[in-house]
Amino acid sequence: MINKFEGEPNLNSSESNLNETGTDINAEKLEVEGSEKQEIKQPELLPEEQLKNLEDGIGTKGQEITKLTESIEGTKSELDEARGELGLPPMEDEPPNTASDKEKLEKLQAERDALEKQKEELVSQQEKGNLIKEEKEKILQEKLDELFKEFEGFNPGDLKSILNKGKTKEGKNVESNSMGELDPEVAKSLAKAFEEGIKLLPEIIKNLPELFKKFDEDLTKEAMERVDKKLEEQKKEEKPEESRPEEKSETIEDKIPPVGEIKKESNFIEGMPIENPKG
Amino acid sequence: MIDNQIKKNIISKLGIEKLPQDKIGKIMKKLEENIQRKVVLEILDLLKKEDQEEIINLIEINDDKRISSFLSEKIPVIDSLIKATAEAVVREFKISISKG
Repeated sequence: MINKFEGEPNLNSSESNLNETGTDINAEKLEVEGSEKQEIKQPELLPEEQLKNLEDGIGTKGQEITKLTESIEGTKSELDEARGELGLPPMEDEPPNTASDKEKLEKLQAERDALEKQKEELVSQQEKGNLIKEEKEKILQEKLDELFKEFEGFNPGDLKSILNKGKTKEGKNVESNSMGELDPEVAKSLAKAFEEGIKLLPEIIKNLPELFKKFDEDLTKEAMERVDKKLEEQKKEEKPEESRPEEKSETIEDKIPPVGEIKKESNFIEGMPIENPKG
Repeated sequence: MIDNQIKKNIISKLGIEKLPQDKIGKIMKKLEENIQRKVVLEILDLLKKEDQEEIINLIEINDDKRISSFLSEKIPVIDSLIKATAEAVVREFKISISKG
């Protein structure tokens, strides 16, 4: 595949000093043009884009983990087979380079786990955002229902004045128990909706799109409180299930034996031919 | 992946030149496989995602010429990388057989 060894100096020559100090080649960071690390978390991105980036990152890490796991498994078996040709038994210890690969594997797994956690948090934030939005609509509908009940109790003169000017007969802004003091334009539109029998929020919003904005701060605060309370209650309900001891499923990580101690090379071995290889 | 000169160097470094040719061939085959896979891993580690996909495609279609030019362009230190990987594998194997 790659004929890069052509014309290379003899491996025994003094020029061939790469890794002669036992340095792990993985630790040698080689500068490569344009190989900057991929940024996963970009706050300016939309949540959907952030999610896609995270999923891509998780996928890439997964592929790297698979390759590295295969390499770790392959290395020992290949070296054992080569040893077999010399009449030697399989190695008891892990090959030293495998140990460094395992460290790399653990790092990759930790990185993938971190991305998974970020994804979980993002999804949970999105879900919470949707719940808050739904709750805001629900609260606003409740407030409108109460307001319309109040309108029912108004005398016809006041209601007519609100329909015309958005204010009471006395020229005051409408004070509602459910929605507080109403801006004349809002009061006018809501009174019109009431008069026409339009009581559902989606229909009202069509004619009064700024309604949410007017009450957004209060609605958001109240919706968040309700959602937090609901989530808290859900957690309490789920807790007894979570506290059950989980059955441990065998993962690929479980199959990999623990990282062995990296054995340093003995100096006397380097450069010495192997005497009387068994064969 | 490894030319004859390098094979000779590895055989000499391991001190297995007196073994029968078929045994040497089998040992070298296993070591070459090991070196190649480690080199590929190192290469992938150094490339950007789109370049990783490109090199995987080239490896799959076995286009040696394009692999060579692509890697030389993207990884200027490719020669040293391959050499270092090969040496690490050979040294590791040598340690392994010295322990018996």
